[in-house]
Amino acid sequence: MPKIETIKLNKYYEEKKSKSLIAALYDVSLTIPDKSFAAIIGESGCGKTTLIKTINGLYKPDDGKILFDNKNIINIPVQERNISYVSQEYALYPNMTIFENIAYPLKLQKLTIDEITQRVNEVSKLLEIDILLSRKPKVLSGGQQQRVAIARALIKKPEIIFLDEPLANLDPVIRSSILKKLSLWHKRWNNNIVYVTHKLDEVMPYVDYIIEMNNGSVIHEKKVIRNKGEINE
Amino acid sequence: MFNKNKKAKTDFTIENLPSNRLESFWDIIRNHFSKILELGFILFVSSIPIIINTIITNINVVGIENDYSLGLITETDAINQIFSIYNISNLINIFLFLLIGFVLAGCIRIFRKLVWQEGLLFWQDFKVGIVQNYKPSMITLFIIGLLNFILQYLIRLLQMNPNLNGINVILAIVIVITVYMVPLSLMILVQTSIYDLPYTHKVKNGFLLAMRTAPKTFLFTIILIVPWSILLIKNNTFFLIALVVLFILFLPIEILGSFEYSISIFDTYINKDNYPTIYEKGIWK
Repeated sequence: MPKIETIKLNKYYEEKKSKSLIAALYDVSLTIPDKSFAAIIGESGCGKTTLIKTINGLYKPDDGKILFDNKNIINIPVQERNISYVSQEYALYPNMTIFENIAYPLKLQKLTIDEITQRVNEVSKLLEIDILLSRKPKVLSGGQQQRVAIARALIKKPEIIFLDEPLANLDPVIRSSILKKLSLWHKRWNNNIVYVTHKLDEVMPYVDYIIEMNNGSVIHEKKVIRNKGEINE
Repeated sequence: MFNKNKKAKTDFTIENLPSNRLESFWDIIRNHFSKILELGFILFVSSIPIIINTIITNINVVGIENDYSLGLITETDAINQIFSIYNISNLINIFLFLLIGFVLAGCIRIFRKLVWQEGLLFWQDFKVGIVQNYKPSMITLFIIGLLNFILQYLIRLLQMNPNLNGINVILAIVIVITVYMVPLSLMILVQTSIYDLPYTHKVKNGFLLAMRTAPKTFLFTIILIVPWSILLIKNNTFFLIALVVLFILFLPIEILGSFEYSISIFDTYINKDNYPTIYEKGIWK
C-alpha cells in the first residue's frame, strides 16, 4: 500500500468580504509511510480536513505535489484512485437496504453477486452490523449508520482509507470498539488509514504515525514505536 | 437522494427482527413491499403470452357462438369447434408455462433471500437465480401446464358426453392430482431455491412432506386458491383488472407465504437434523 507524500502543498480560500486569499494549507510537506495507521491531529480549523480532502482529490491544490509511491497523482481522477473517504457527515441511500448501501461500490466495479455477498458479509460481521443487512437506513441509530458508512468505505479494500472524525458523534464505548475493528482491518489488509481527529488519546493505542497541524501547516511528524506494550514516540 | 437526518433514537437490535415465520411474512411485506411488487410485475409480464392466448381463444369462442346464434353453423359444429379451440389453446399454454417457469427461476432466489433476511441485489440475484434454477422450475411449470391441459380436456369432454363411461372417476382423480400439485409444486420450487438435489428427490420430499402435513397443507392450499376464484366472475373488464391485480399483488404474496410455510416445514423435518446451518434461518428466537 502506497507511501503518501505531499511536497509544498498549498491551498487557498478567497475570503468573501475582503476578497483576500487565506491559506488553508501552507507549504505542507509530509510523508506517511506505507501500510501505516496515521492520525492527523490539531485544533478545529487548523486545516486537517482540507489536507485530507486535498490528498484524496476532493479539493484541487493551488500549488505543490501529492505523491503516492513517488508518483504524482494530482491529475488522476478521484474515481481512478483506489481510496475511500468517510466523513462525520456520512450519507446513505435511504431507499436502499443496508446490504445495497454497502455493496454499492462493488456493484460499480461489476463484481459477481457471490463475491459481493461474501465481502459484504465479511465486513458487516467485523463491524457487527450483519443483522441489519435487510433493513433500510432510517431504522438504524446514528452509530449504526456510521458503521454502515465505514463498512462501505472498507468493502472496496482500498489502498488508503481517509477518515475525517467519523466517530465524533458516537459514544466513547462505540468509538473505541470501532477503532479496534478498524485496527484489525488495517492489520489484516495492510492498507493505509489516515484518521483525522482532535482526540489523540483515543487513537493512540492504534496509530503508528502522527501528524500534528496548526494554522494550515504541519508542525510535527512522529512515528509511534511500540516496545513490549510501551509506546515511545 | 441521501438522508442525513432520518435515524432511529435507539439501536436496531435482534429484538426488532421477526421471531417466527408469520412475523417474518409480515415483516417482509412491510419492509420490502416494493420488491414484492417488482416480483409481481415480472411474473405478470412473463404471463402476458398466456393472457393473450386466453383472450384470443375467448374471442374465437365468442365468434363461433355468434355464428351459431346467427344460424351459420350447427350446434354440433359449434361444440366441436369450441372443443378444438380450447384444446389447441391449452396445448399452446403448456409451452407458455415454460416461459413463466424460466422467469420464476430468478424470482425464487429472491424470495428465498427475502425469507432468510439476506441482503440482495435484485437484478444480479434474479439472473443468478435463472442460471441456477431454470431446469427444475421449467419442468415443474411444464407439469402444471400439462395437468391444466388434461383437466380442462376432461371437463369439456364430460360436458360434451355426460354419459361417457368412467370419465367421472378419471376427472375426480385428475382434480385431486391438480389440487395436490399446488402445494407440491410450491414445495418443489422452494426446495429448488435451497437444496442442490436431483429433481426426483425434490418431488419425493415434497410428496412426503405434503402428505405428512396434509391437514394444514390442504388448508393452506385452499387459502392460496380462493383469491383466484374471482376470475370465475363473467365480466370481461373485471376479469382483466382482477387478473392484473392477482398477478402483480396476490401471486408474489402467495409465493412469499408459500416460502415461509414450506421453509417452516423443511426446518422441522429436514433442516434441523440435516442442515443445521440453515435451520430457522431468517428468524431470531
